[in-house]
Amino acid sequence: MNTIKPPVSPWQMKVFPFFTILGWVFISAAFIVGLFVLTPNTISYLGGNAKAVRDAAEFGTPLLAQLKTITATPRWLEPLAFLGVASFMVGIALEFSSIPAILKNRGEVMKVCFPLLREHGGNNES
Amino acid sequence: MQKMIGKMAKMYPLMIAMGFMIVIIAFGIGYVNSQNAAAYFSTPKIERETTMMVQRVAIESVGLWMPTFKFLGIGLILGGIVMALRIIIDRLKSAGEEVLSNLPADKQLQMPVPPRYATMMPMVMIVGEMIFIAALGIGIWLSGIARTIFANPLPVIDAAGSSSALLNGVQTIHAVEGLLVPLKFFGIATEFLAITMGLATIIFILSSQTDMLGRLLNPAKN
Repeated sequence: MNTIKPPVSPWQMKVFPFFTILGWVFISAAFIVGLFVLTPNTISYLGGNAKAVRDAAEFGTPLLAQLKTITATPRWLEPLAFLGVASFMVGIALEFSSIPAILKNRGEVMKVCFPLLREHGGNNES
Repeated sequence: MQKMIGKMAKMYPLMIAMGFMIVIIAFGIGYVNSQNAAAYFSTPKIERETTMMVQRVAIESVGLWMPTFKFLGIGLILGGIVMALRIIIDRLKSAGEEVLSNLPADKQLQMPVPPRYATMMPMVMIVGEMIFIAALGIGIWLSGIARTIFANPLPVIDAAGSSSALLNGVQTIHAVEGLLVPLKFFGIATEFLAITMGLATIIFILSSQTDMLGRLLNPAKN
Protein backbone atom coordinates (compact mmCIF):
# COMPACT_ATOMS: atom_id res chain seq x y z
CA MET A 1 0.00 0.00 0.00
CA ASN A 2 1.33 3.42 -0.99
CA THR A 3 1.43 5.98 1.78
CA ILE A 4 1.78 9.72 1.49
CA LYS A 5 2.26 12.30 4.16
CA PRO A 6 -0.31 15.07 4.20
CA PRO A 7 1.28 18.53 3.80
CA VAL A 8 2.14 20.15 7.11
CA SER A 9 0.14 23.31 7.70
CA PRO A 10 2.69 26.12 7.13
CA TRP A 11 3.36 28.60 9.95
CA GLN A 12 2.22 31.46 7.71
CA MET A 13 -1.35 30.10 7.83
CA LYS A 14 -1.33 30.52 11.59
CA VAL A 15 0.06 34.06 11.50
CA PHE A 16 -1.85 35.69 8.61
CA PRO A 17 -5.22 36.08 10.46
CA PHE A 18 -3.39 38.17 13.08
CA PHE A 19 -2.21 40.64 10.43
CA THR A 20 -5.66 40.70 8.77
CA ILE A 21 -7.34 41.50 12.09
CA LEU A 22 -4.64 44.07 12.88
CA GLY A 23 -5.32 45.77 9.54
CA TRP A 24 -9.06 45.87 10.31
CA VAL A 25 -8.42 47.27 13.77
CA PHE A 26 -6.14 50.07 12.51
CA ILE A 27 -8.42 51.09 9.64
CA SER A 28 -11.59 50.88 11.76
CA ALA A 29 -9.84 52.97 14.45
CA ALA A 30 -8.94 55.60 11.83
CA PHE A 31 -12.58 55.64 10.64
CA ILE A 32 -13.93 55.94 14.21
CA VAL A 33 -11.49 58.74 15.10
CA GLY A 34 -12.50 60.57 11.91
CA LEU A 35 -16.18 60.13 12.72
CA PHE A 36 -16.17 60.88 16.45
CA VAL A 37 -13.18 63.20 16.94
CA LEU A 38 -12.27 65.02 13.74
CA THR A 39 -15.74 65.71 12.36
CA PRO A 40 -17.37 67.00 15.62
CA ASN A 41 -14.32 69.18 16.39
CA THR A 42 -14.38 70.67 12.88
CA ILE A 43 -18.12 71.34 13.11
CA SER A 44 -17.66 72.93 16.52
CA TYR A 45 -14.64 75.02 15.46
CA LEU A 46 -16.02 76.37 12.19
CA GLY A 47 -19.73 76.35 12.98
CA GLY A 48 -20.87 79.56 14.62
CA ASN A 49 -17.40 81.10 14.80
CA ALA A 50 -16.55 83.78 12.25
CA LYS A 51 -12.93 83.97 11.06
CA ALA A 52 -12.32 87.09 13.18
CA VAL A 53 -13.42 85.20 16.32
CA ARG A 54 -11.29 82.18 15.45
CA ASP A 55 -8.24 84.32 14.71
CA ALA A 56 -8.64 86.19 18.01
CA ALA A 57 -8.71 82.97 20.09
CA GLU A 58 -6.21 83.15 22.92
CA PHE A 59 -4.02 80.54 24.60
CA GLY A 60 -6.02 77.98 26.58
CA THR A 61 -9.37 78.70 24.92
CA PRO A 62 -11.55 75.83 23.64
CA LEU A 63 -11.29 77.24 20.12
CA LEU A 64 -7.49 76.84 20.08
CA ALA A 65 -7.82 73.36 21.56
CA GLN A 66 -10.20 72.44 18.72
CA LEU A 67 -7.82 73.95 16.14
CA LYS A 68 -4.99 71.89 17.64
CA THR A 69 -7.09 68.71 17.36
CA ILE A 70 -8.22 69.28 13.76
CA THR A 71 -4.71 70.13 12.54
CA ALA A 72 -2.75 67.54 14.54
CA THR A 73 -5.07 64.51 14.27
CA PRO A 74 -4.93 64.02 10.46
CA ARG A 75 -1.13 63.98 10.68
CA TRP A 76 -1.17 60.66 12.55
CA LEU A 77 -4.54 59.40 11.34
CA GLU A 78 -3.45 58.90 7.75
CA PRO A 79 -0.24 57.04 8.68
CA LEU A 80 -2.40 54.84 10.93
CA ALA A 81 -4.68 54.00 8.00
CA PHE A 82 -1.60 53.20 5.90
CA LEU A 83 -0.34 50.98 8.71
CA GLY A 84 -3.66 49.13 8.46
CA VAL A 85 -3.23 48.73 4.69
CA ALA A 86 0.34 47.49 5.25
CA SER A 87 -0.87 44.94 7.82
CA PHE A 88 -3.42 43.62 5.32
CA MET A 89 -0.72 43.36 2.67
CA VAL A 90 1.60 41.46 5.02
CA GLY A 91 -1.30 39.06 5.72
CA ILE A 92 -1.87 38.56 1.98
CA ALA A 93 1.88 38.05 1.39
CA LEU A 94 1.94 35.40 4.15
CA GLU A 95 -1.00 33.60 2.52
CA PHE A 96 0.79 33.64 -0.83
CA SER A 97 3.97 32.31 0.75
CA SER A 98 2.07 29.37 2.28
CA ILE A 99 0.90 28.12 -1.14
CA PRO A 100 4.34 26.70 -2.17
CA ALA A 101 4.49 24.77 1.12
CA ILE A 102 1.07 23.26 0.42
CA LEU A 103 2.04 22.37 -3.15
CA LYS A 104 5.38 20.91 -2.01
CA ASN A 105 4.35 17.23 -2.03
CA ARG A 106 1.53 17.58 -4.57
CA GLY A 107 3.72 16.12 -7.33
CA GLU A 108 4.48 13.11 -5.17
CA VAL A 109 0.78 12.68 -4.35
CA MET A 110 -0.25 12.92 -7.99
CA LYS A 111 2.47 10.47 -9.05
CA VAL A 112 1.23 7.89 -6.58
CA CYS A 113 -2.43 8.52 -7.35
CA PHE A 114 -2.38 8.57 -11.13
CA PRO A 115 -1.95 4.78 -11.61
CA LEU A 116 -4.78 4.21 -9.15
CA LEU A 117 -7.08 6.69 -10.86
CA ARG A 118 -6.22 5.21 -14.25
CA GLU A 119 -6.94 1.74 -12.97
CA HIS A 120 -10.35 2.81 -11.65
CA GLY A 121 -11.04 4.75 -14.81
CA GLY A 122 -10.23 1.64 -16.84
CA ASN A 123 -12.62 -0.40 -14.70
CA ASN A 124 -15.35 2.16 -15.33
CA GLU A 125 -14.85 2.00 -19.08
CA SER A 126 -15.02 -1.79 -19.27
CA MET B 1 -26.25 32.78 -7.57
CA GLN B 2 -22.73 31.34 -7.24
CA LYS B 3 -22.83 30.26 -10.91
CA MET B 4 -23.83 33.76 -11.95
CA ILE B 5 -20.98 35.24 -9.91
CA GLY B 6 -18.63 32.70 -11.51
CA LYS B 7 -19.73 33.88 -14.98
CA MET B 8 -19.40 37.54 -14.03
CA ALA B 9 -15.91 36.89 -12.66
CA LYS B 10 -14.70 36.23 -16.20
CA MET B 11 -15.01 39.97 -16.79
CA TYR B 12 -12.09 40.64 -14.43
CA PRO B 13 -9.70 41.99 -17.14
CA LEU B 14 -12.35 44.61 -17.97
CA MET B 15 -12.54 45.69 -14.32
CA ILE B 16 -8.77 45.97 -14.04
CA ALA B 17 -8.55 47.93 -17.33
CA MET B 18 -11.33 50.28 -16.20
CA GLY B 19 -9.63 50.86 -12.85
CA PHE B 20 -6.30 51.58 -14.53
CA MET B 21 -7.97 53.99 -16.99
CA ILE B 22 -9.58 55.86 -14.09
CA VAL B 23 -6.22 56.23 -12.34
CA ILE B 24 -4.61 57.50 -15.59
CA ILE B 25 -7.48 60.01 -16.11
CA ALA B 26 -7.10 61.14 -12.48
CA PHE B 27 -3.38 61.71 -13.07
CA GLY B 28 -4.18 63.85 -16.15
CA ILE B 29 -6.77 65.91 -14.25
CA GLY B 30 -4.36 66.26 -11.32
CA TYR B 31 -1.67 67.58 -13.65
CA VAL B 32 -4.06 70.16 -15.18
CA ASN B 33 -5.16 71.16 -11.66
CA SER B 34 -1.53 71.61 -10.60
CA GLN B 35 -0.96 73.95 -13.56
CA ASN B 36 -4.07 75.86 -12.50
CA ALA B 37 -2.69 76.15 -8.96
CA ALA B 38 0.71 77.26 -10.28
CA ALA B 39 -0.94 80.07 -12.27
CA TYR B 40 -3.13 81.03 -9.29
CA PHE B 41 -0.36 81.18 -6.67
CA SER B 42 2.08 83.00 -8.97
CA THR B 43 -0.30 85.99 -8.91
CA PRO B 44 -0.06 88.52 -6.05
CA LYS B 45 -2.28 87.68 -3.04
CA ILE B 46 -4.69 90.62 -3.27
CA GLU B 47 -5.25 90.14 -7.00
CA ARG B 48 -5.72 86.34 -6.87
CA GLU B 49 -8.10 86.42 -3.90
CA THR B 50 -10.37 89.07 -5.40
CA THR B 51 -10.31 88.43 -9.16
CA MET B 52 -9.26 84.80 -9.86
CA MET B 53 -12.34 83.08 -8.46
CA VAL B 54 -12.77 80.73 -11.46
CA GLN B 55 -9.31 79.24 -10.88
CA ARG B 56 -9.89 78.98 -7.13
CA VAL B 57 -13.22 77.18 -7.73
CA ALA B 58 -11.47 74.70 -10.04
CA ILE B 59 -8.58 74.09 -7.61
CA GLU B 60 -10.83 73.57 -4.57
CA SER B 61 -13.55 71.49 -6.26
CA VAL B 62 -11.14 69.17 -8.10
CA GLY B 63 -9.21 68.68 -4.87
CA LEU B 64 -12.40 67.38 -3.26
CA TRP B 65 -13.72 64.86 -5.81
CA MET B 66 -10.51 63.70 -7.46
CA PRO B 67 -9.02 61.65 -4.57
CA THR B 68 -12.27 59.65 -4.30
CA PHE B 69 -12.20 59.09 -8.07
CA LYS B 70 -8.63 57.74 -7.84
CA PHE B 71 -9.64 55.41 -5.03
CA LEU B 72 -12.53 54.12 -7.17
CA GLY B 73 -9.94 53.21 -9.80
CA ILE B 74 -7.78 51.41 -7.23
CA GLY B 75 -10.95 49.71 -5.91
CA LEU B 76 -11.83 48.42 -9.38
CA ILE B 77 -8.32 47.01 -9.80
CA LEU B 78 -8.56 45.25 -6.41
CA GLY B 79 -12.06 44.01 -7.36
CA GLY B 80 -10.57 42.61 -10.58
CA ILE B 81 -7.97 40.75 -8.52
CA VAL B 82 -10.76 39.28 -6.35
CA MET B 83 -12.61 38.15 -9.49
CA ALA B 84 -9.41 36.58 -10.88
CA LEU B 85 -9.03 34.66 -7.60
CA ARG B 86 -12.63 33.49 -7.98
CA ILE B 87 -11.82 32.06 -11.42
CA ILE B 88 -8.79 30.23 -10.01
CA ILE B 89 -11.07 28.80 -7.26
CA ASP B 90 -13.68 27.64 -9.80
CA ARG B 91 -11.04 26.03 -12.06
CA LEU B 92 -9.36 24.26 -9.13
CA LYS B 93 -12.71 22.93 -7.95
CA SER B 94 -13.79 21.66 -11.35
CA ALA B 95 -10.37 20.05 -11.99
CA GLY B 96 -10.62 18.20 -8.65
CA GLU B 97 -14.17 17.06 -9.36
CA GLU B 98 -13.18 15.85 -12.82
CA VAL B 99 -10.26 13.78 -11.50
CA LEU B 100 -12.36 12.18 -8.76
CA SER B 101 -15.35 11.54 -11.07
CA ASN B 102 -13.26 8.73 -12.58
CA LEU B 103 -13.63 6.63 -9.44
CA PRO B 104 -16.22 3.86 -9.18
CA ALA B 105 -19.35 4.63 -7.17
CA ASP B 106 -18.22 2.69 -4.07
CA LYS B 107 -14.94 4.61 -3.91
CA GLN B 108 -16.40 8.06 -4.53
CA LEU B 109 -15.26 10.59 -1.96
CA GLN B 110 -17.57 13.21 -0.60
CA MET B 111 -16.60 16.75 -1.57
CA PRO B 112 -15.79 18.93 1.46
CA VAL B 113 -18.26 21.65 2.36
CA PRO B 114 -16.81 25.00 1.20
CA PRO B 115 -15.96 27.32 4.08
CA ARG B 116 -18.33 30.24 4.72
CA TYR B 117 -15.73 32.83 3.73
CA ALA B 118 -15.55 31.27 0.25
CA THR B 119 -19.20 32.14 -0.49
CA MET B 120 -18.91 35.54 1.22
CA MET B 121 -15.92 36.69 -0.83
CA PRO B 122 -17.82 38.22 -3.82
CA MET B 123 -20.28 40.01 -1.49
CA VAL B 124 -17.42 41.54 0.50
CA MET B 125 -15.85 42.71 -2.78
CA ILE B 126 -19.16 44.32 -3.86
CA VAL B 127 -19.51 46.06 -0.46
CA GLY B 128 -16.01 47.50 -0.99
CA GLU B 129 -16.99 48.82 -4.43
CA MET B 130 -20.15 50.36 -2.93
CA ILE B 131 -18.02 52.20 -0.36
CA PHE B 132 -15.86 53.64 -3.16
CA ILE B 133 -18.92 54.71 -5.16
CA ALA B 134 -20.46 56.31 -2.04
CA ALA B 135 -17.16 58.15 -1.34
CA LEU B 136 -17.12 59.44 -4.93
CA GLY B 137 -20.74 60.60 -4.57
CA ILE B 138 -19.87 62.45 -1.34
CA GLY B 139 -16.77 63.96 -3.01
CA ILE B 140 -18.87 65.26 -5.95
CA TRP B 141 -21.45 66.69 -3.50
CA LEU B 142 -18.68 68.47 -1.53
CA SER B 143 -17.13 69.84 -4.73
CA GLY B 144 -20.57 71.31 -5.57
CA ILE B 145 -20.56 73.14 -2.21
CA ALA B 146 -16.98 74.28 -2.85
CA ARG B 147 -18.06 75.69 -6.24
CA THR B 148 -20.71 77.84 -4.51
CA ILE B 149 -18.40 79.04 -1.73
CA PHE B 150 -15.25 79.78 -3.68
CA ALA B 151 -17.17 81.70 -6.34
CA ASN B 152 -16.96 84.49 -3.72
CA PRO B 153 -13.78 86.52 -3.18
CA LEU B 154 -11.74 85.21 -0.24
CA PRO B 155 -12.18 88.40 1.86
CA VAL B 156 -15.97 87.87 1.61
CA ILE B 157 -15.61 84.25 2.77
CA ASP B 158 -13.31 85.34 5.62
CA ALA B 159 -15.82 87.99 6.72
CA ALA B 160 -18.72 85.50 6.80
CA GLY B 161 -20.57 85.81 10.09
CA SER B 162 -21.59 82.92 12.33
CA SER B 163 -24.49 80.80 10.99
CA SER B 164 -24.11 82.34 7.53
CA ALA B 165 -24.53 80.08 4.48
CA LEU B 166 -20.88 80.62 3.55
CA LEU B 167 -19.55 79.55 6.95
CA ASN B 168 -21.93 76.58 7.04
CA GLY B 169 -20.58 75.52 3.65
CA VAL B 170 -16.95 75.79 4.82
CA GLN B 171 -17.90 73.83 7.93
CA THR B 172 -19.57 71.07 5.89
CA ILE B 173 -16.57 70.73 3.58
CA HIS B 174 -14.02 70.41 6.37
CA ALA B 175 -16.20 68.22 8.59
CA VAL B 176 -17.05 65.71 5.85
CA GLU B 177 -13.51 65.77 4.46
CA GLY B 178 -12.25 64.57 7.85
CA LEU B 179 -14.45 61.51 7.47
CA LEU B 180 -13.88 60.92 3.77
CA VAL B 181 -10.20 59.96 4.07
CA PRO B 182 -10.80 57.10 6.56
CA LEU B 183 -13.88 56.03 4.54
CA LYS B 184 -11.72 55.48 1.45
CA PHE B 185 -9.30 53.38 3.48
CA PHE B 186 -12.27 51.44 4.82
CA GLY B 187 -13.13 50.57 1.20
CA ILE B 188 -9.53 49.45 0.58
CA ALA B 189 -9.67 47.33 3.76
CA THR B 190 -12.89 45.67 2.54
CA GLU B 191 -11.29 44.81 -0.81
CA PHE B 192 -8.21 43.43 0.94
CA LEU B 193 -10.46 41.32 3.14
CA ALA B 194 -12.07 39.84 0.01
CA ILE B 195 -8.59 39.05 -1.41
CA THR B 196 -7.61 37.41 1.89
CA MET B 197 -10.78 35.31 1.79
CA GLY B 198 -10.06 34.28 -1.81
CA LEU B 199 -6.51 33.22 -1.03
CA ALA B 200 -7.66 31.32 2.08
CA THR B 201 -10.21 29.50 -0.14
CA ILE B 202 -7.51 28.54 -2.66
CA ILE B 203 -5.34 27.20 0.18
CA PHE B 204 -8.36 25.30 1.55
CA ILE B 205 -9.05 23.68 -1.85
CA LEU B 206 -5.41 22.70 -2.42
CA SER B 207 -5.15 21.21 1.06
CA SER B 208 -8.49 19.37 0.68
CA GLN B 209 -7.51 17.92 -2.69
CA THR B 210 -4.23 16.57 -1.34
CA ASP B 211 -6.07 15.24 1.67
CA MET B 212 -8.70 13.51 -0.49
CA LEU B 213 -6.07 11.87 -2.67
CA GLY B 214 -4.38 10.71 0.53
CA ARG B 215 -7.66 9.17 1.70
CA LEU B 216 -7.99 7.45 -1.67
CA LEU B 217 -4.61 5.80 -1.19
CA ASN B 218 -5.20 5.00 2.46
CA PRO B 219 -8.90 4.04 2.64
CA ALA B 220 -8.46 3.12 6.32
CA LYS B 221 -8.35 6.86 7.08
CA ASN B 222 -11.89 7.38 5.71
